[in-house]
Amino acid sequence: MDNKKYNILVLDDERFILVTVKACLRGENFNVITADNVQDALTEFKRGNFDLIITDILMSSIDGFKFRDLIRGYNKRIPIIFLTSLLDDIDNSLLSRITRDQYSYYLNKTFTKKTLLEILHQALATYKSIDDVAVLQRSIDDDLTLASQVQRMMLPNWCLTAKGYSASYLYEPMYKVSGDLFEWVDLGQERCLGVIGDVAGHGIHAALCMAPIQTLIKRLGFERAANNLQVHEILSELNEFLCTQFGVNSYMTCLVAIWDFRNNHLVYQTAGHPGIICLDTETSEIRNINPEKRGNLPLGISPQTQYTTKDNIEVDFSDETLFIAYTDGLLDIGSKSNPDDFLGEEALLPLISSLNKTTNVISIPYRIRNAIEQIGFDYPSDDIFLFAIKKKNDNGGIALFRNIPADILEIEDAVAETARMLSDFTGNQDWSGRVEILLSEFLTNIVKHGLEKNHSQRKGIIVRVMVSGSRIFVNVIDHGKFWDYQEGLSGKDADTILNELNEQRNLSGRGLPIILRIAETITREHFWGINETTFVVAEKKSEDVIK
Amino acid sequence: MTAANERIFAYIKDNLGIDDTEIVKDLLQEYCVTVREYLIKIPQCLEQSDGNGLYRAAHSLKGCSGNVGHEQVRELCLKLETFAKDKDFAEARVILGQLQEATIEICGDN
Repeated sequence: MDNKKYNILVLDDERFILVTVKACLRGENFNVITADNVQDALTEFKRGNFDLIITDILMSSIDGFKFRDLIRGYNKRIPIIFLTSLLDDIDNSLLSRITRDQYSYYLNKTFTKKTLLEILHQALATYKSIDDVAVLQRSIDDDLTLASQVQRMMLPNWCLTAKGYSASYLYEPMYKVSGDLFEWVDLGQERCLGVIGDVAGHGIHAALCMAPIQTLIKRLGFERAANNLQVHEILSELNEFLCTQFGVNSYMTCLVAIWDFRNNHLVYQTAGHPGIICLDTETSEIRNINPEKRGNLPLGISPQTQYTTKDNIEVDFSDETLFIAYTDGLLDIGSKSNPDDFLGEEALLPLISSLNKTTNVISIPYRIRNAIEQIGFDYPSDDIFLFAIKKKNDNGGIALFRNIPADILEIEDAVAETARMLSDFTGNQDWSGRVEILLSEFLTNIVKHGLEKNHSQRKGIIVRVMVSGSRIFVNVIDHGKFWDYQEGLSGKDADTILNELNEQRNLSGRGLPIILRIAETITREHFWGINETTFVVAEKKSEDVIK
Repeated sequence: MTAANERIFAYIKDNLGIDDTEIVKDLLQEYCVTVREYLIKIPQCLEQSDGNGLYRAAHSLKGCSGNVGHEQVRELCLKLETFAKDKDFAEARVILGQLQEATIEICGDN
């Protein structure tokens, strides 16, 4: 035992017992406070900072067990020693009532100083060690939360809407931090570099390795973006870095790819990493783009490994080709109801081939992740990373793709610019004006009510506007709270709601009826933390436009 | 000091680790206050045929007596507990008499 003075509260309605315990512990490292009734004991307990309680069981008011229940309302783990002579006629049910609580102990009233001190030290040592572990646990947890935030900062934005293509990814650490890494760099001329890595293992070790590798990839990507960047060169540099900077236990699988969406050409190389899934969204066919199973050893295993162009996979693709890449944590997602079962590629591929060509690529990783859980794979055993990229296709019309920062001022500018472009394209100012009002109301609502209060944690809102014949399709993806439009209506139509708001002279809450009057149809779906809302706005004559 | 008192002094010193004679005296005095309290309470319970009250009183006195090593009183209280549970007040009265006698040596005439 250390030299700390421990505070002990003793409750017994027999004054003699209180005097005896106090006398017995005199000169030891305990401050003993006594109470001869439950009320006083509770008052003392709330007032003081006690390390342990000793209580009688059979008392004239409530018994010791009820007193314990009251104490547990304030403190779940403080040790409580039941001091009683009830066990003279030994009673198992009494013993089990005492030990039902993990932090309760028993001492016969005919105690000696030795037995009293023994049980006090035992109870306090257990309490202290559990307390120390809990403090350490909290500290580790806080550190991991910070590490998780730092890791998120190192990753690129969750989606990319570049000239010629769009892409997004889902990053899901198994517990706070992840050994998966990812970087993309827009190389210009509608080309995109993507690097996906998976450090062996998961948790802190893998996450610590991830950070410097991620930094190196960022540097390589941005420094070399202007030059004729080659996928095998990136693998060689990463391999050298891992072999020289880390020990033998730190290897990683990696995939480096460059998509050229102007020439519809992909070149990639894999170092022990799962390949790229290539779906033609027009025919729903998944192409095997690596039939020869080309690939090289994971990075960090041997400095002698040569990463050269001979292991590259090069393919040409159609305009409607969707590419999916992932780390193998995705295939390893298990099932709580069937512990021997896991997702695997066989179950994943049908989910991917069911995606159609009009699906917004930005929501695809989230749709797939959602579908995986829906088919019963609900138990991840590793970090998960999932990525989708696709060429932008206007289909002869106009498709505006915007990543709008979640900020009221940014929204107003972006919405006004979108409306101008729509007006130029359609030549119908009323039509584009109605889209402008709808978007403005809806996005303002998301920023004001749907998103995190913490501005730094807010993710941008993706807006895609497409004109097709006499319909404008407005597709919005956000990370806000999920709320149901129909529920907000409570069965009332837009006119009724507006009239009610007018009568109440209420300025807030007007957005919903305005949106409902503008949109011909609204569909709203929720996938794995994102909301995807699609409004259809039909072309109308000017007299139908809301005043 | 009676022989019984000496035994209890030794018990308290050896088992409760209390060397200070003044504290032992205080403790013994407190014990005798408790004894007197129960030697009033126990007859009242018998008078009212209150088995529960009798059990509680015997139980409490048993605990205190065990604590100061007054084994004779502790054993009598244990018997009293049993008779209280069985509501055998006749036998309990016999024990009460024995209790009164056993405590005289420590606490004087109650």
